[in-house]
Amino acid sequence: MSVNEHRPQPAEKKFESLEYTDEHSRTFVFGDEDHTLGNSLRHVLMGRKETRFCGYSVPHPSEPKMNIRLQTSATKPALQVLKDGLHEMVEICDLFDFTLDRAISDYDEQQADSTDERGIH
Amino acid sequence: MAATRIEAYRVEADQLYESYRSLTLAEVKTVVEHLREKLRIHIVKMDVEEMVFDLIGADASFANALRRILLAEVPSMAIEIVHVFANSSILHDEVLAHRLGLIPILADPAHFEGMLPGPAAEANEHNTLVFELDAAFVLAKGETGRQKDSSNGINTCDASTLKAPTRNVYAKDLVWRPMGEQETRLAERVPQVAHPDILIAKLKPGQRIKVEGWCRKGVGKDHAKYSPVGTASYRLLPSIDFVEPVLGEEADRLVELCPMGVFDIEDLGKGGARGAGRKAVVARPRDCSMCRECVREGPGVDRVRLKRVADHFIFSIESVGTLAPDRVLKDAVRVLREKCTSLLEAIEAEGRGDGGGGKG
Ligand code: SF4
Repeated sequence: MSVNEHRPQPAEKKFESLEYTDEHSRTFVFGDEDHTLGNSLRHVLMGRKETRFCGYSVPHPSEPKMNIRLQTSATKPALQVLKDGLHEMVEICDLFDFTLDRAISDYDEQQADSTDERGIH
Repeated sequence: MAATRIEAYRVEADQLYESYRSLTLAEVKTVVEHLREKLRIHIVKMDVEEMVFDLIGADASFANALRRILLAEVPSMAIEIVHVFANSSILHDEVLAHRLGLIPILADPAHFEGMLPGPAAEANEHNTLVFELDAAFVLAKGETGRQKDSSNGINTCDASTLKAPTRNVYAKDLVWRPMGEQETRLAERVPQVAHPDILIAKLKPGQRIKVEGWCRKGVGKDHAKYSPVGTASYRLLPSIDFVEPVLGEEADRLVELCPMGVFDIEDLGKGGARGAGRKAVVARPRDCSMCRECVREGPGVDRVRLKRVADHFIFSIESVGTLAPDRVLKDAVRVLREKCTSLLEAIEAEGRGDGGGGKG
């Protein structure tokens, strides 16, 4: 007997770019993504200088889809800006990981110091 | 292009205000450039079960992405399929299976593969852990079961009540049965239940439970039993300041007013007389619960200003006991990174599909 029989079906497509005539304004559809990536990616894209407009939505909570609307200036097509944004997210994750590792070793050191002190007293 | 940054959130007359600072063009940076300068993580407390840390400089969308991943997308192991061979206990098979599923299993998910979806997926030693539970309450001839013996989980009952004795079945009665190479592969971290004293069922004399639970790797968005954390939450650091100083008797009032002991008295020393030379200061802003008692009435009404720092998160993670909280956090960052890299791949694949297919 399985403990949970019902699972949401995975999305058919992981990524889709809705075709419009202008390559500088696009709506991208991400399968199996939600606010987790949507909001943080939106934030990153908003910080890029080519971005004119960026917004995200999850059209329906039981549909495994997330949309990102991205409009860019004439210097770069929207798809390229999206890719840059994703690369930037990867960099941010690496930075988080690095900072976290350092924080953990700092904490461990500090703990070791304080137990040393306790040992002396 | 003029840009603005939210500096603080402020509660005023039950409405939220954001205070902005506009940035000059030179100050506008991409998010990663901003984080390189500003991101700080400071661990306040960390042990095997709980971790509290300050995440400084990041945007709320990142704090929230991490929180959401911690709750729903960091993989862990839990019993997924239960084969019931015998169950004469009062619990229905479904209820028993559900209870077994919720028991935290101490096994490193990194040692296992995920199960492919669909009926074709087959259990093997790389994706499944097997636990056996065989518990029966058998009384020997002449035994009443009323003698006190806690070692085998038999509870005696009061002789004056005529209820039959019960035997408790605990999580520790689940025994791992190694499959294939698992015994050598997992030798350094033998799979077991994280908390041995979880009560699964109670048996009366003659009742028996014999089941086999198959553990799988899964994520919290599939079922809450897979969530590696009890809670993961954050709040913003409160910032409390004085528009003008609160002195003397009023300072004492303010200190008394605050239930969390945020304020202290500083002796200004001038005059020396009790009262005049005393001033209220903010000593422990972290303890503030934002109850707003200090601005509701009394001396603080128009002199204390309650705010929150917009980019200082006090994050807390409570593990269920299977993975240490710092490990869960590192896994969460990795999951977020993998999301981005797999999307980049999907974008590339899509681009190739469009070019190669040539369909209109
Ligand atoms: S909001 Fe409440 S806890 Fe915070 S300083 Fe005021 S009285 Fe104290």
